[in-house]
Amino acid sequence: MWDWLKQNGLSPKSFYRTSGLCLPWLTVLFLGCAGFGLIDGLYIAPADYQQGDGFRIMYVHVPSAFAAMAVYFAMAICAVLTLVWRVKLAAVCMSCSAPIGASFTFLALVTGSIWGKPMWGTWWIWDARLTSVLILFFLYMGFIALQSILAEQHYRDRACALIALVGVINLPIIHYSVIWWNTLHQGPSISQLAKPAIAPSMLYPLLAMIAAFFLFYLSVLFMRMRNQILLREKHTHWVREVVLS
Amino acid sequence: MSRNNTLLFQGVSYALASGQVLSVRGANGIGKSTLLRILAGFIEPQQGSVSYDNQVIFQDVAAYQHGIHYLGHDNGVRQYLTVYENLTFYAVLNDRVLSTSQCNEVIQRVGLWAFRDTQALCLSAGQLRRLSLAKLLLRPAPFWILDEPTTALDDQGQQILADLINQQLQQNGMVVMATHQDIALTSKPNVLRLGS
Amino acid sequence: MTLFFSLVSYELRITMRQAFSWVTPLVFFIIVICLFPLSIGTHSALLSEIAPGMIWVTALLAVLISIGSLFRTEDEEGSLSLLLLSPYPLSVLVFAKIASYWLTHCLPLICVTPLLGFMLHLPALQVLVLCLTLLLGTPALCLLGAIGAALLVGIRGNGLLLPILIMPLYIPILIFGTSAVLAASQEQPLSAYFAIMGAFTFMSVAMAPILTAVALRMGVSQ
Repeated sequence: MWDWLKQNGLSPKSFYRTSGLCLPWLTVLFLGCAGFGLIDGLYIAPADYQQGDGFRIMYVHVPSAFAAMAVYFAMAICAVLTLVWRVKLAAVCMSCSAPIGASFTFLALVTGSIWGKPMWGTWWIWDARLTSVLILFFLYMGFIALQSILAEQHYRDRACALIALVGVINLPIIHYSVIWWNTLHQGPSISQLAKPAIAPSMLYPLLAMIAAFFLFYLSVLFMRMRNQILLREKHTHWVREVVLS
Repeated sequence: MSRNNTLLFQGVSYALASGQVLSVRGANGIGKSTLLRILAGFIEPQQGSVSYDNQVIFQDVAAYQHGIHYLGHDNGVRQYLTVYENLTFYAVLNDRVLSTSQCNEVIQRVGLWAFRDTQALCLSAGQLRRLSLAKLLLRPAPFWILDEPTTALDDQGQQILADLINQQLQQNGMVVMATHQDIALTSKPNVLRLGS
Repeated sequence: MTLFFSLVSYELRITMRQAFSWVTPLVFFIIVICLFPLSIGTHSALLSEIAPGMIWVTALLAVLISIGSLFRTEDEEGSLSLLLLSPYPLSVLVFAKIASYWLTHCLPLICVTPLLGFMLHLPALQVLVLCLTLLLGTPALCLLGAIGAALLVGIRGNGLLLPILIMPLYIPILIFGTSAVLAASQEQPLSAYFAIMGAFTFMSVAMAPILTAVALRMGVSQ
């Protein structure tokens, strides 16, 4: 079963075919979700009684922070598939995910900092969540730097997989130690910002935006992967057929 | 087999019997070293397989590697250890108990007696090569893989190498080596030419 | 076990014969620490407040700068294949190497820390706690750094890549190391800090040698 999957379902060639079929649907779904989320979130949902319209940046900040974490975990899963079962497609997925995840992380940092200005009166605050996202950004940077310096592809895939794995093991430890450090140094002044349960009228657009971010990730990922597969398999027959047709 | 997206060689097939020596030849950059590293179990070939004693070596690389000697391009000598210490270090790594007299004997055999307590840092390229040949004597292994063993060796050094290989063949061992030069062996080596 | 100790003794002998390799990080450590009073002033309250963090960050940098060469000489000499072809598990051999690295590169730093602590007007109790946290934490730094060093073995010009790769992983150690000294200054109990750092170090001991061995095997196959 597994061998069959590796041969057929997970081979670069069949992925190239199926992803080509999926891509238009993913894009349409993404546009739908993003359209609904943005219109509902930015115009229809009521303003926050404390923060006014400033909170609306949440519709970008929260999904991007969420997606940034999720992409890193997806990369770690691909890393296991690469190291243990040597699934070629997983290595492609991992290396193509990294820049997207790093962009999400960057977006989360920028929006978090913009959000911080009206909330805390300063562009940057060493808040536990922001700091963890910053460290996640560093982890992404390390991964991308390693990827760019290694020339031999097979080794690059495996080395990057190893570092992604080490990163994901450490991520929870880093996260909790940062939270703990934050409470030690900042005192309880931050905790008043802990939001009360969110109103449904605010929640639905948020969920739509989270879905939109994941669909965006998938569609960009598929595009990058298709590109990368063509490049990696350029010596094979089927790529020549695809390119020449 | 390809490295850095350059195809090195394909369709190489050979069977070597015990007591035989195979000399791999071919132009620089053709992939001789890569082939030897595959044989040593360091690199898995992209296609095809390597079998030893009817066992595919990559099923249990560790067990296979215990039975081989691999001398690479680099001599595998610790620069800051003396000749004597290099050999004892090698013995420790390979779980061999080595008495001082045994060790001295090996050093004499490769003609480095005068440099017994010199750090490898101060040895010449040919002397380093001799030191790395000495490792062949420390541990019996049925299969030797030698990458350009003649490099930097003088006439006497080449004779030592030839004696070592002849002795190995007499004991029904196997030798695969990449060379550009002929070595005075008792039996004529089989030749595998890459890239022709 | 005898294997472990004899390997450590060989490594120590090699390091002692090239004194610059272990003296350089030590001198780096001392010089960088001395730069801080020169740049931010010699106000003793300020210095003693930032001293723990300063010493920790500098120790971390000293490790990061030197650990990149952990396997480099072996790679150049070709003696990595000796380790790979040895019948012993590679992780044990690697662990012996990391242990001797710690003895020659981190222990000297810890030995001069009391001196630097007093120069920065740190009270004696805090100096003691600082040394203890370094003693507990630096092995983890070396172990994690070894993974990166193994991954980058054979890659020229990797000077700044290793710190980028490994530094984020050092953050928990840094946080708990400096917090313990802070807690000592406020006369709070310290056992929790030591327990957490010990746990982190033990986790590194369990995992890092294996991952380093995996990385080394990958490296030679490139």
